[in-house]
Amino acid sequence: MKKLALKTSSFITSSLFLSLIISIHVGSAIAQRLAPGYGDTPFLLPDPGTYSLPSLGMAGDGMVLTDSGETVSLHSALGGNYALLSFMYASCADVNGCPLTAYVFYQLKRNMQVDSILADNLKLVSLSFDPARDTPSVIQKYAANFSITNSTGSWDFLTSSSETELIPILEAYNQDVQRKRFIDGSNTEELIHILRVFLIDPKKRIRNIYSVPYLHSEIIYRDLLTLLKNGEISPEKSREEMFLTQSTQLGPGDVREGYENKNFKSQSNPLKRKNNLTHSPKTTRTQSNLGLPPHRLDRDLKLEEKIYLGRRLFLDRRLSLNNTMSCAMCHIPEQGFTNNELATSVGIEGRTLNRNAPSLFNVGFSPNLFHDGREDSLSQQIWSPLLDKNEMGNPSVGYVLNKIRSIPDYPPLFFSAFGDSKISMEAIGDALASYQNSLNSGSSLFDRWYFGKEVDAFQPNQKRGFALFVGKAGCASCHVLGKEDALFSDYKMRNTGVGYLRSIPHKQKKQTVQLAPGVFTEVDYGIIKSVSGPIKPDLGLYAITQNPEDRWKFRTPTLRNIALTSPYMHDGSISTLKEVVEFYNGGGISNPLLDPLIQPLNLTQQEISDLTSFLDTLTGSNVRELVAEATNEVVGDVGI
Amino acid sequence: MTTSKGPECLMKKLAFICFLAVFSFSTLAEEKLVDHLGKPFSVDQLKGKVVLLIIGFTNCEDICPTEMARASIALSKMKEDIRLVKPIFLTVDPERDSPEVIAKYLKNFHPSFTGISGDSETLTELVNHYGVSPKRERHHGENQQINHGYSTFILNTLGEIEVAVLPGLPPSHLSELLFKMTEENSEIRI
Repeated sequence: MKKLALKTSSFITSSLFLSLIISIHVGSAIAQRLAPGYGDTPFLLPDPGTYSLPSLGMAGDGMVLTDSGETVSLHSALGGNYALLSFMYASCADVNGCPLTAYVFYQLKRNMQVDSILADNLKLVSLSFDPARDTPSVIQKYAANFSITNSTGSWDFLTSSSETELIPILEAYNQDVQRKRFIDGSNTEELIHILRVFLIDPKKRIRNIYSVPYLHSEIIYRDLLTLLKNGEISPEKSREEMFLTQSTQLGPGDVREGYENKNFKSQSNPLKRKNNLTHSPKTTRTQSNLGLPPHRLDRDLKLEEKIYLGRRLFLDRRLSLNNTMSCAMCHIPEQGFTNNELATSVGIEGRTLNRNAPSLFNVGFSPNLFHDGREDSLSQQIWSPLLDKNEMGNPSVGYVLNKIRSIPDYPPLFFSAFGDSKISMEAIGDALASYQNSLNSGSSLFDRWYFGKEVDAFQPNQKRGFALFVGKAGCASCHVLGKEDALFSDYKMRNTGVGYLRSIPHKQKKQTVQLAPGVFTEVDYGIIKSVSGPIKPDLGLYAITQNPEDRWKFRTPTLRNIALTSPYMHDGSISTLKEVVEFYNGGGISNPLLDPLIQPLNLTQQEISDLTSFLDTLTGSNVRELVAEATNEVVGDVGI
Repeated sequence: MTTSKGPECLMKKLAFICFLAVFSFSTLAEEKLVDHLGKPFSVDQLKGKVVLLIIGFTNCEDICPTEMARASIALSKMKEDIRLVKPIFLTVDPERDSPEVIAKYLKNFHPSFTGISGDSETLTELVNHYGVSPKRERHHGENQQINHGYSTFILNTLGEIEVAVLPGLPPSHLSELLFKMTEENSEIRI
């Protein structure tokens, strides 16, 4: 009731004031109809929550100055909650321009004094168009309007250090600003712009854009309530709660189990709408360490900022030549940071690659990278896929740097991660490496049983499987375990014969091809050969060392999260874990350079099954969190 | 003051130093400024009062008349507290705005306004001091306009700008600001 009374009184005052405006303007040459924002709502408004406000795309970012002269990113200045962003300039004399925005913002600010929902969930932000006139000390005087009176809730005034900093921001918000010119071509003080006010959500997506006929405090208020009602609760209040209730789907959406049978029914999940929840990844990282060696980057103060930047780069398709491929399109988060559906990866423009995308879980612990172990540092490794003409297809390092520099989202992120917005080869490498280093995933069932001494954690078949792993089957000779931690790999280069098999001529005459559930046909191999690219032999380590002894040697992978990272082997040639165990049970593929540790194992079917159940216990406890962290990120200009 | 803080104290000291600068400047300008009644005016007449300063010109077709109207409504809400406030209309167009013209113009607004005109150079220097840089529009039509940007300010008793009042905010906001400012500056000389 109090609020209503306040509103009424201010309405009376403002109508008096407005009638004055009108009378004066009628007297002058530029009589103008006042925008609805000054009076009653222009039409009957729907109730909050009865409509939805889909994302209209990402809100642009850039560097701005606060009224205390501090340089911050626009996104951080918008705060962690809903924000209403307007642009203003001091010479704006159009009554339906900046003064209208100020009037509507004032109504909201005034209502914030009595309405805590409004005060707690909405931040008003005005960014100046005019960095030359509106210096931080000037905008401080604007801000002073609300330090003396109506001080509840925030209305921040921002400016920028120069037009160079400002222009990319204006472009990102489609604010086409032009200076009005005199007939002789010289500049006036007046800027021409189209009034737009942006409602931005905590994930920095634009949820509504208000133009003159719709800029009204009541419309904005109802929109805010609608967003809050539609489950988009303030992130500060219920971040943990929301995270717990979210479901993260693992594996490909297209489930094809049983596809070989005629009575197969599609169980494919529709792509779930991402619920865009955030959580605290740092917690999940530190709580999922059981069984892993100590984290190497824990001391980096800017680690979280670097991880955030790296994750965005990792997910950004614009990092490829034709803006189609991101890192995450071969290292798919929900598919074990590899691709569960392809044996060998497919690069830019559908180009065939030779090898299976390695999973990135726990990649930070790996002393060597790639299946042939040719690289030893994550921050250097990234340039290989970025520049490979068949992967992301970029022509040069400089091309990538300039592309990232030209994307307005990035300079502020680099600034917060590295203390300056310089985008260099090292910084990109560091950011992407930080993110990949953060994909650590331990505290698996095995870790709880073996390192955590939870005796009840393991079933008898899993215990038998472990006994075989370290005993009769000899897996642990290469997939080693330590006393305090276990990476399940010695990361050495070995020949199991899988590479050799590819190098010898194909003996099959026919290939079975499945056309539909339960419908198979035999196709002459010659036909397949005639339409597919030649299978190139893959000599593994030999390509790096040129030592004939190193032919067909590939890196021993970690087995952590192995149940999530099918298909297996460097070429993805084996689909299931059981088949992998059977492959080793058979002693690999015989060849002159076969590793002496690969021997027939004489395992029974029961033992094969037990060993497979053991491998299923190596899935880390934080997989869903790591996946959610990636899939909830919205990168680029596309909203959801 | 709701926002009374430590740094403010320092600010006020700094402001006082600035005021001294204004003061010395004002003694220079004393002879050259005149109010709408034709009496000589010096900036130190503003000393010790909360000043509502509107910079504009009488031929203004844009923002000045609405700003003056807003201020008039705000001032009429002040009732007897009006004596604690000094409303000033400062012209940027002394060529056309003689004291007589300003006096006629002010009749449309709250009677407490004092209009200031005078020597062109001195006026320009003075408005520049308040961060306003008026620019004449180049065409010489029948009613030449002068562009000057936001130009409603509240000055504290030290003569420094405390608030730049945004256009569009209703008069009630302006009167609230003036009330608070006068409350704080209880030492105001009447």
